[in-house]
Amino acid sequence: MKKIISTLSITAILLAVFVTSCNKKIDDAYANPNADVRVPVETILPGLISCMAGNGAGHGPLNDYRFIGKYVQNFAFCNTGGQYDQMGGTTGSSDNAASLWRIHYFDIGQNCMNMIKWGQEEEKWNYAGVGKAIFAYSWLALTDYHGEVILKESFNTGQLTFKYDTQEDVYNYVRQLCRESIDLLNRTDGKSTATNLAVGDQYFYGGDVAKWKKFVYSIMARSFHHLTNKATYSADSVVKYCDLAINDNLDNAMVKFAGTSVSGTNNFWGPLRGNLGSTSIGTETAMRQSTFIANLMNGAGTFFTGVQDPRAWYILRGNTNGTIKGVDMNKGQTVIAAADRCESFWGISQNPSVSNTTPSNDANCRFIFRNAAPFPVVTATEIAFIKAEALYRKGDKPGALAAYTDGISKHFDMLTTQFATNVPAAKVITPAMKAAYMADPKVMPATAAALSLSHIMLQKYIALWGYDVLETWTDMRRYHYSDQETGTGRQVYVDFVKPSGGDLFINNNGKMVYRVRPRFNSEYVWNIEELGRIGATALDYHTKEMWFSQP
Amino acid sequence: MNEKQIAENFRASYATGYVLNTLNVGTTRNQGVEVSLDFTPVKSKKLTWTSQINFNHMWNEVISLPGNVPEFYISDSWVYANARGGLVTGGPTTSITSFGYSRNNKGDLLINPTTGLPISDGAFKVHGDRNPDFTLGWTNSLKFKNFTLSFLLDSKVGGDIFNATEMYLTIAGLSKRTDDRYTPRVIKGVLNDGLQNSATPTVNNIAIVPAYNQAFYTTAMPEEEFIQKDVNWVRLRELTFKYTFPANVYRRLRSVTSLSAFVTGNDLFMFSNYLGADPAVNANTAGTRGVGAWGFDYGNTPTPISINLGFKVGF
Repeated sequence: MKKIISTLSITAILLAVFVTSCNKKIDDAYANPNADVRVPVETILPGLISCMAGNGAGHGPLNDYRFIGKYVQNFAFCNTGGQYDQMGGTTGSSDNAASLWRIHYFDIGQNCMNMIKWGQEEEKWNYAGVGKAIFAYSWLALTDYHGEVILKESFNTGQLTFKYDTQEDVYNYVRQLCRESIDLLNRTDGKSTATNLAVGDQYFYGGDVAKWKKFVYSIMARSFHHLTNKATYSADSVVKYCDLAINDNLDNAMVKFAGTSVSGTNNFWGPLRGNLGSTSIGTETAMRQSTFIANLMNGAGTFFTGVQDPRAWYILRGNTNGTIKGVDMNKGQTVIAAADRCESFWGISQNPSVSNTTPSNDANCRFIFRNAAPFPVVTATEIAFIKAEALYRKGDKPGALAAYTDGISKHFDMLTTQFATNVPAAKVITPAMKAAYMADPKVMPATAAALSLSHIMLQKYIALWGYDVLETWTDMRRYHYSDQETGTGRQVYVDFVKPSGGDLFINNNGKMVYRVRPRFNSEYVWNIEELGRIGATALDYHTKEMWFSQP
Repeated sequence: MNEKQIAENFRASYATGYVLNTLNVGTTRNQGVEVSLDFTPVKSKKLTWTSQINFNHMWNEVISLPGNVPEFYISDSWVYANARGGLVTGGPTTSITSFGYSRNNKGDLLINPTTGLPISDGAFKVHGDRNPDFTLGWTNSLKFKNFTLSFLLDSKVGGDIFNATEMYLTIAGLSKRTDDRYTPRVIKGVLNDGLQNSATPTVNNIAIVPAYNQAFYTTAMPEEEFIQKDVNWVRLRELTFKYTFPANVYRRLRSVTSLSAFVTGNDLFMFSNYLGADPAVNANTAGTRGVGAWGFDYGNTPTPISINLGFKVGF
């Protein structure tokens, strides 16, 4: 009898095990003893932060800006024949300029989803709020970059093909994320302490929730301001969010780097990581300052004519003649007289008669091109210029002039306080130099009525140069590169020359660039059917205008 | 039929949030026939001869893959250049996918009109099947008085091999196929000049000398060229000659119950049409997932001949 009972009970246990195991997923059923699938949220955040610049794997905006920085003529390729100088799209099986796609869906993706989920489960509301903030930033960047993207079906691991959603859907979702983020960041109950947030937030805001909220409002301001061409554009909403957003250089959203001897802890554009070096035509990463930015700052342009901008020596590079000059798009540097060729961003002279130190020395690098230089994601100067344009469009010209003045001033202060490293002693900006520049009648209109869109957009272009490339591209696409201000008969971006003829990429069919195609080794290989539906298989897909810039 | 199998580490849109994915997708079919025959041809008081024949044949096919996955390859089999064990719908599960020659609609090689060299298609297509037509094993044991002779003959008929070693040696100029590199030649094919798919394609007449044109052995000689079709072998896996001592020899050693001496030779001979070293190759280990990496020869050394001498004592 005893034996029968024990046999029965064993059978029962076996049945029980069998029944429950069928309902479990593999990760639940078999915990991995070497790598737990659940990690502390504090360890997820640093990786997400690095994605907003360039992460240890070399992915992030800094990777892509090397290419699309040529669309807006922040940069120019040092050789001729650069595809991006010619506003060409990525072709063939290349993943150039497709890093944002990867960081959004892969590097941030499920990691951020987990941080939000676990943050809420563990009552670390601020981590969940920060996760939504980073996602809001990332979704907006993704759609401003690619246009239609996968939103509603994203992060579904049970699916094999994915439908694309409209840009309008993504914009709405960004605002939803922003609102949810603010709600979570407002919570101080549970384990939502600044001390604990600081553990994961060391390289961004150091655990300061008030600053994170300003970051979120900045994304909100961007999302409303990008729609200037629409009848629904609301300048009041933009101004409202600008006033809540980053308004002080101390609140600038910056990814910071430890800058140790380990490559991955350094700025992607610094000499140690060496990502701006190649002069081969295929990669086009050897970039120089363009003629457009150089002429905005050296007095050679037709708008700020004759005005020497002292900020040039903080962000641009000189040459053997001691002047600031740029490289023309698609023309390369060799057509320039040797003594006029600007140095590379690592301070390497391009004049063959000058000897250089090899390898590149960090002590010769400035601005965002140093190993440990922080990388600005959103700055107070950007918000000031967004506000200036919104007020200008609303018809409040005195208000616009005040914000415009504030924007220039904040950029000066940002450079002198946060990016003064390695600037030659003779070129260090003094308060008198700043005042003189800001008082110049070419820069500062005598009356509010004399302020123009060109003032705002060109000074914004200077203030965002190098780091806020995607935002600058969004601006220029809003103005279709060459739109004129009503009544002036003058292009808003004065002196900006659109590539044409042999300087415009052949696939463009005469059109300007408006988007980057989705990443090849994600979509063109594994999701090709859907690309056909949205027209992304066309060779000139990159010239298709986006929703945000259309009426 | 294995339906909705777990396909591990396949790639999909990054919209999953991952680069490599695991899902129950994909259907393959694997069927086989194995016939084993045991018989005793001779059985007398002095001589006993027992024999066993083992025949095996497999059919396999990839029935379906997810629509967005054109080729699901076993990355562990991708050891050299552009050839790998790739699963393509309708193809065998044991296929070799690789780059091949570009051809016109009649199957003629397309020749670059500027260089006179063939053109690689730069795409992974099925160019071989590693699965043999059949394998045959024959085990024999002949016992005469106290002597036993046993041997195993092993044969494989059919099955393709990607000879990466040969490709490597060809590129390095060390393969025998590069001996005639100074001999001018015209490659048989048609020029890729726009008429290649017409009724009257231009026949190639461009003479080249490979010694002055290394591309002949590199970019213009795709992996397809190095996939050897229908590799057969017959080998003597094992041959053992054994003498069992009569009991009176070890009678004084009380604990010993049996005693024999033997000599065994492994892989004493192998006949094969394979152009490389040894067709029994695996570019990876038996632990490789999925179908594995057998049939990929990259720097593999042949199975050595080994001879063992020994005594066998039973206690």
